Amino acid sequence: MKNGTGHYLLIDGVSKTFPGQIGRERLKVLDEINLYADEGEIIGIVGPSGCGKSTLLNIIAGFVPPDRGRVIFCGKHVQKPSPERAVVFQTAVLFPWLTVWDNISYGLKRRGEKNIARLVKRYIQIVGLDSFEYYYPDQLSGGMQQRVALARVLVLNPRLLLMDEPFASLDALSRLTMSSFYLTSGRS
Amino acid sequence: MRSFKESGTKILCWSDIDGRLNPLGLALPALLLIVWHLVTVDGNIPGYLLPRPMEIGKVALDFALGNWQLTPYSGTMLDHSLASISRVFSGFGFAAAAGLPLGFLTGRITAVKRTIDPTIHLFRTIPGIGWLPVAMVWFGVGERTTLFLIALAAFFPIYVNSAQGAASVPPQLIWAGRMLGANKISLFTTIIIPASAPAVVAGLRLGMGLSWAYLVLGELTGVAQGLGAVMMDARMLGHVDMIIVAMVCIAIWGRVTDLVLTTMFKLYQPRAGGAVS
Ligand SMILES: Nc1ncnc2c1ncn2[C@@H]1O[C@H](COP(=O)(O)OP(=O)(O)OP(=O)(O)O)[C@@H](O)[C@H]1O
Ligand SMILES: [Mg+2]
Repeated sequence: MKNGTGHYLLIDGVSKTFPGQIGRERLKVLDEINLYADEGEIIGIVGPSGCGKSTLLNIIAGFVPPDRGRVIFCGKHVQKPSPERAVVFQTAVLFPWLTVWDNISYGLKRRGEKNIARLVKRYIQIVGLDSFEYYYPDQLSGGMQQRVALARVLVLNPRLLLMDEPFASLDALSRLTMSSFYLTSGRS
Repeated sequence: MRSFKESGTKILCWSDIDGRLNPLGLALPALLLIVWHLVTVDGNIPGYLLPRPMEIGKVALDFALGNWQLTPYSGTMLDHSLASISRVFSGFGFAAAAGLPLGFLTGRITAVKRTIDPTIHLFRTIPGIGWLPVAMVWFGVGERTTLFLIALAAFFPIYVNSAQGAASVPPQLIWAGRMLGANKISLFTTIIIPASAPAVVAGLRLGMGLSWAYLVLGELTGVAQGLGAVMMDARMLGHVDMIIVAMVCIAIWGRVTDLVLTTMFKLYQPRAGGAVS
């Protein structure tokens, strides 16, 4: 999987600012971040609250563009989100109008997958939520919601897993064999 | 996968919310009826101003079934109701057909918002009733004026609420959808529509309420059939009882159409449905 840049994931001089308070200058959140990860690596990004971990994750995911610099993943310039680069958000961000089952099958349906039922069932088991399939997100605890969010992306077999403060789903994760995943996780 | 279990949850939610009768809700109507009966029974308020509840009940039954020939409208409730309901649905249908797509476009696309939103809000400031004279000039009295007034009045809340709902979909939900592989169309149908549905339904309900209000206004200008026409006609014939019965009919049909909307929403979104009553 080596390519022109030589790395599986390359974060190349990424900077990001946000509008500051009225009358103040822009808030510099990320300044010239350089980072790379190779196949199979697990990387943790540590820093105080508000230092920009989530912002960096959002840029790697392709949700927001950096002001300067670029993200290269598998030789391709990241410009929009993709199921290859899965995100588990800091708060679960499940679809509140869908059941656990329908949240987890969402991506499979978009992909036109055939074996949806079998896959969903398996991943519900993996994250330990059997018998909660037909619960709605607001009927679950925070940690359970995180596990649904994890299952919802793992079922798509992503190549990169971006987890924003993944403590709630860590034990579910530890039950998995992670060898096939490339993991970057942000945590404070 | 839609499964048995899932629909089981839906039915559960539905009956949890609507299955029980609320005795407190019935106390106020009962009290009003008692007071109404007491002030009319001994002739304090004469019958030609406010007939007694029992008489109204009789006239209403006769209006529905036609067994006593108490008024010239005996047995015509179904015809008049159907005429009014079909006007409400046509006018409301026009309003929804225009208001929903324009609202969603305004809510999601800045260029559309900049182009049409200020003008629509300018028109919105003209009270619906202010359109009556010009509507009568354009469409004559009766049918088409009524449809025009209903469509116009119901359009604004549908448009404003859809736009508001579509604009306030949390960006993270949209990110999540795109990250999970939704394209532009499925993003719209599977994220934006369900996420804005509560606001959209609020707009539809407001629009439906206004539809009934403007139905009466339109029908008062002169149509052959309809509950508004009955009210106008009964006033000239001195049948206060019929005016009140027609008002009660409108109240009931208005409530029924509102229940149709909220029920459809609860079936579509059982979870969020709980928040709508
Ligand atoms: N959309 C935005 N508009 C303006 N400022 C923002 C925006 N998003 C983030 N910021 C600012 O960027 C900085 C970094 O935010 P970020 O969410 O990346 O922090 P974090 O490292 O994930 O913190 P935490 O550990 O508390 O989650 C914060 O100061 C925040 O106020
Ligand atoms: Mg964060």
